Parts: sequence; structure tokens; C-alpha cells
Amino acid sequence: MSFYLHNRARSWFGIKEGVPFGRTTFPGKDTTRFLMFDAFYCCLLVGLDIRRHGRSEQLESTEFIKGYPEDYRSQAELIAGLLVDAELTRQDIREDDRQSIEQEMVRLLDLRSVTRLSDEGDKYLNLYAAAGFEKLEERIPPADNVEDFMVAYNSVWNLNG
Amino acid sequence: MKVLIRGWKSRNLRGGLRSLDIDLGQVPSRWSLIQMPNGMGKTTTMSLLRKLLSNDAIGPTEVMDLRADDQVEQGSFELQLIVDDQPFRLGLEFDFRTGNTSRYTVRAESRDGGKVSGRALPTELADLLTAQLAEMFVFNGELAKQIRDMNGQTADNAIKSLYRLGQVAGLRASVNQIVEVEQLRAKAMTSAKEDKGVTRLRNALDEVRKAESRLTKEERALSTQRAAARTRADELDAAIKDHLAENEDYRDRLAELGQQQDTLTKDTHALSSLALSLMRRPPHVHPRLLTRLTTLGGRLFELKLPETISSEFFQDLAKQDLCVCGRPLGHDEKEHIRTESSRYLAQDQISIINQMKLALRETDADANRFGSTIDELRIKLLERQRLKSSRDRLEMESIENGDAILADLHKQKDEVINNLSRMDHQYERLTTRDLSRQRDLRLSWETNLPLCKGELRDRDDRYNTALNTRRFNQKAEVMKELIGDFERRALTRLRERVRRLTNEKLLQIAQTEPLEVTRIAGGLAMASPGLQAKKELSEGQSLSVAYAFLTSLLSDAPYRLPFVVDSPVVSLDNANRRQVGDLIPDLFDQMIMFVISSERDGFADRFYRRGDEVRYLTISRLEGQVRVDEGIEAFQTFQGRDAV
Repeated sequence: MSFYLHNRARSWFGIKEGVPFGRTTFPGKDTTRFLMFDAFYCCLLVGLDIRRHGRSEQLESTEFIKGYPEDYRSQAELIAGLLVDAELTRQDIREDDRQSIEQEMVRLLDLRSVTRLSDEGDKYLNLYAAAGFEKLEERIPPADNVEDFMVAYNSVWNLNG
Repeated sequence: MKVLIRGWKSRNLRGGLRSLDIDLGQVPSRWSLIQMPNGMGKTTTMSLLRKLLSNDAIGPTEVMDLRADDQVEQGSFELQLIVDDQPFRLGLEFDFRTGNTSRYTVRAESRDGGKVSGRALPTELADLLTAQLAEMFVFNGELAKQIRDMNGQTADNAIKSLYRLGQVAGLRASVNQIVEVEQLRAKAMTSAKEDKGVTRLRNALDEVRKAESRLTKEERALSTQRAAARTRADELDAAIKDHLAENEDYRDRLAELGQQQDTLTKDTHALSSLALSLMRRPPHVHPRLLTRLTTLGGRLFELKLPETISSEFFQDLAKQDLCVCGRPLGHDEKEHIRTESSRYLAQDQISIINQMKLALRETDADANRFGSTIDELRIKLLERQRLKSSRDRLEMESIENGDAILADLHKQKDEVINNLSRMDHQYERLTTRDLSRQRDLRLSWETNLPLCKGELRDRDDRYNTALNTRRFNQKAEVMKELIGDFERRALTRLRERVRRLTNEKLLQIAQTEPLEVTRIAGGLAMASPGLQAKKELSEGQSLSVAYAFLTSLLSDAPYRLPFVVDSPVVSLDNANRRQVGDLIPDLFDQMIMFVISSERDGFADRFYRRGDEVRYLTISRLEGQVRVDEGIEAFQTFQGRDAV
């Protein structure tokens, strides 16, 4: 359950000393901090939405985090669900193919993992995030701050629709 | 355990210290106010107290500077202490012909008592009294600002010093020494031919070590310069604002814009926090994601996935003699059941699919809320942009109306911003770990610190491989990492402890505007509770924070130490003087305060009602002779030139 960023993601998200948009983000008590995992997750959702894998060569060589941050733990089953959905579509598995669907879930899921995903599932998550990053990079220019990014990010979803 | 200062004596030292005896009493008073005009040797006394207590070295030049005049050849400074009710005398003897200093200690105990050379205090006290700690309790006024400098290390160093984390760092140096000894031993055993290769590798290693040290220095210098430029930019912003506010035409418009901006900043923060928390829930991000999740959940229910019977059920069954239907199970039947059991899922596989299925089924989200929150945020961002344009227009208007000062402030700010942007670029070149940026900027180990550290590891490894000390070195690296990890964890916990204690003290003392320490990392990051970070503090607040931090820190020391301070309120106005005068007396068991006559009003007078617990000494020079007068009357009536 190690997560890897796309090797252009640090520059694109302006990550400085572990903080996305680090040039404009200052520690404040009244704001929720945008995490490096948030950046990864934004890419991941786009990748799962377009149901496309990136390539492992596009990933950084070292993980930026192991497992989900606290805020994401309760979402593990839903992220796993989106992964299963994306894989079933990507592999063109028929909706009524009970056996293949079951096999696919067994391959991707693992009860003992914090992410609820098997090693293979974790690996795929990184690949979907890489493809998602490329899509983001293609659709919107790098943002200067979190607020501008979120506005632009939302527009990507509406463009995709 | 307690240390008190009983007094001190100086001989043949410059200023008013040619022959001065300060006696704070057999049982020292809790508060001693020593009125001493400028130029009489306050700074020298403070410095010598620190040197004596901490055993800090005194160089020959410093010794020569202490000389009263060319006629004297020797001088001395002696401090009388009471350590756990036992008298101690620590002394420094100066030889002005050679610049040498000798130290001595006089102890009263019959065993090992008498005069001995060096500083001979109880071991635990001797370990505690480092030069850094001495700066805290023989208070260096500069510390008040330094401990809040997030680019400095003063607060961390104070914590490290008190809790002796330096000794942990010393362990790392010992590991390095052991490795070096092992490498020297291994090198001595190489043949001449091998030796040439080893020397080449050693030179290559030294080359990259030098580069690492150079880049580290550059990084530190650049960090300091960037912080200074950011502070300057903030100051210029404030100056522009203040300058515009001076103009009646603009004051009201500016105040209105400021008010709108505050509201807008609050709204933007709230909306962006809400949007972020919604975004962290996948079904909220877009209706399409919600549909996919519910469809998948529905499909699993329709297909009755997963199977309810697990492979474990059949494996258990294969161990029984009778089937669930009551028929007997023979060898062949059992084997068949075992083989077929693999077609079924294991219990944990069923559980995870069920968990997911349940989560999908229960997914219920307002999938449009993220979008609508973002729409609101977009509107606020546009308003913010409009507001900024209005303010810019106001400033342009003022400049166009011939406001040369504002034009100059803008020019200065532009220069600072340009400079800052250039430094940011340099800093990125120096520190980026981003592989693609390293490639784009064509960085190498000679120009980029992370690459340099990587190269250092590689070359170190090659050198140790050649010497057959690679495994030894790897173990040493593991050891160093463990030490570093321990040090980091210890520092994090200690910072938090000191932060908590400091805030408890600040709660009691910062009356006008509440203040709190939000973080300790090198320095103290301050905030007003519920508000944004607070960069600028008044002099009074700055001193309050320093005293709260120091007393919190010193309360954990194994000895209760006295507190000596020079001109504690000289730079404060009367209101702040009264505040400090009310605040600090109760923080320490013994306080020795050097004051000048102008500090009597608003500060020293706060002690007058404290009666016998205060000792007043007034030191003055009359016709070349230094005299010490004791008592409140002399203290109150003294007219030094500082009073004018």
C-alpha cells in the first residue's frame, strides 16, 4: 500500500517541502491543509473516471506515503469500488459474467489491507493516478493556489461529462 | 535543588569594576534591583557571570579588553554561590601580561573542600550549565527576538541544551570516529597497488563531501535571505497601507476595502475547507462517480455475489464422516469435496466483498454539493480579484496625484519581489528532489543538494567496498539513523511539552491580547487564538513570550536557577513597563535586575510595595571612586546621567 506520484506531479502541484502549492500555502489554524495525498487522489479519481492506466515508468521511484491518511480511511471501500468498476469496464467484462466479476474482485481486494486492496490493487491505483495526472495536465494549466486548483479541477469533471 | 547568587567581586577590571563588591545578603533577597548607570560595567558583569557559570572559554583578546588600565597586571572576578545551602565561590584570575585566564573553585566541604583549580560544581549542575543555558538565565536580551525567528535555531537549541540532546548528537560523532578508525586500520592492510585505487576513491569521496558542505552552507544562507526578503515585503505592504491611511481621501475607502477583504478571506477559507472535505468523499465529487458506485453495488446484489458458502465450509466438511444430509462420506467423496472447495472463495474474501457491497449500497451523497460549493468559491475568488483591483487602483490614483512616497514604496516592493523570485528559483535549483525538475534544470551533484547526498552515498559505498569495510559502514549508518530518529522523536515530544507549558504561562500573563505558540520548529510560531499566524509582536509581547518560554523551560531543569537580567524594560513604554513589572517578579525564585535610573518609573516602582523581599543597591561613581549604596532611599533619589 505504497503510493507513488507521477514524476511530473511535484512541479505541477507546486509541491515544496511536502506541501502542494507550497509557494502560496502558509500554516494557518483555520484552514484545512491540502495534502500531497489529496493531489494524488485528485489524479486517481480522474484516472478511474477515464478508466485508463498510466505506465509504471511515469511514476517516481520512491513512495510519498504508505497507506491512506486518516481522512481517507473511511473511504477505502468506496475507492476500492471505483477501482473494481474501472477494471471491469477496462477489461470489458460483461455485466452478467458472475464468475469473472468475482475473480476480479478476489484479485483486487484484500481484507487485511488498510486500503482494502491487494498488492495488485494498490499497484493499479498508482497507474490510474498516473493516467489521471496526464489528463489533468492536458486539460488545465498548473494552479498557483489551492482555491484556483479546486475551481479548475471541478471544471475537468464537467468537461469529462 | 537550588542555586542562588550571593554576590560577586571584581578587581582591576574596566569601567566601574576596578574594585567592586556586590553583596546580596547571607540569605539572598528574592528580588535585587541594582541601579547602575551606563558605562559602569553592566554588560561586562553579565558576560563574566555567563563565562564563570558555564565554563565557557575566554580568549586572550577578551582578557586584554577587561584590563582597567595599563598599570595593572592582574585582575579577577569572583562569584559567590549557594548551591543547596552550601557556599561555593567560582573565580576567574586574569593575567594581563599574557592574556591567560585561570579558574578556581572554593568549596566549604571538609572532604575535597578548599580551593581547587577549574570549575568544580556538583556533576549534575556542571553538566546543566552550558553556554547556551547561561544565555537564558543570565538573560541575553537579544534572545527575546531570536527565539521567535523560525529561520534560526535558538528555541530548538535552548530545548536541546536543557535536555542535553547534544549528547545524543555526540553519539553520532562517535560512530563516525569509530568508522574512520576502522577505515584507517583497513587501509593500513592494503597492498601498494590497492592503495593507489583506494586513495583515488578517497579523493573522489572528499570531493563530493566538500561539495555537500558548500551546498549546505548555500542553502542555509539562501533560506535566511529569503526569510528576510519576505519580512521586508510584509513591512513594505504595511508601510503602503499606513501611508495610504494617512491621506484623508483614501483612509475611509481603504478601511472599507480592508473590511471587505477580511470578510472575503474568511468566507474563502471556509468554502475551500468545505470543498476539500467534500472532495475527499468520492461520491460527492461528481454524480457520475455516485452512479457508478450504486450501479456496481446493485449488480453485486443482482448476481448474488459473493457466494455465501466459503471454501472453509467444504474443507471442514471433508474432515467429517457424515455429510450435512446425513449420508456417510467415504475416502473418494472426501477427496472430491476437498478438490472442489477451491472453486469457492475463502471467508476473508467473502467478507471484503460483502463490506464493499454494503458500503456501495449505503452510498448516499448529494453529488452536486461539491459543484455548488465550488461555484460559490469561484464567485468569492472573483470578488477577491475585484477587491484587489480596487485597491491597486486606489494606489495608482494616489501615485498619479503626485504621491512620490507611495511610488517609492512600490518601487522598493517590486525590487524585493523580484529579488525574492530570483532567490526562490535559486533555492529550487539547490533543493529540488523532483526528478523531472532536476532534469529540466540540468542539475548535477555539484549544484543540487539531494543529488549531492545521493552521490555521497554512492562514493562512500564504493570506498568502503574497496576497503572491505562496507558491511561495517552499513551497520554504522543504521546506528546513525537510529540515533537521528531518536533525536528527532525526542525533540518533537520535548517541543510539544515546552509549547504546552509556555501557552499555560502565556494564558496567565498576556492580558491585553491573548497569544499562543502554535508550533516550535527552530523558533516559536505565534498566533492570536482563533486568528491567523502573528508575525509582529510589540516589545512587551515579545518579552512576555520570551519570559514564558524561558520559565517553562527552566522549570524542567534539575536545579532551580536564579534569573539575571540587564535593563529589562529600557525599550518599553510605560504601559508595557507596568505589565512586565507585574509579570516577571513571580516567575523566578531569585531575580537580579540591573536597571538604569530611567527604568524606575513604571517598572522598579512596582517592587516598592513588596517590602523586605527586595534589596536595592545603587552603584555610582563619585570623584573617580565607585561606591555602593544600599537601601530604597538612595535608590529612589539617585540622579544618574541616564535619568536626564
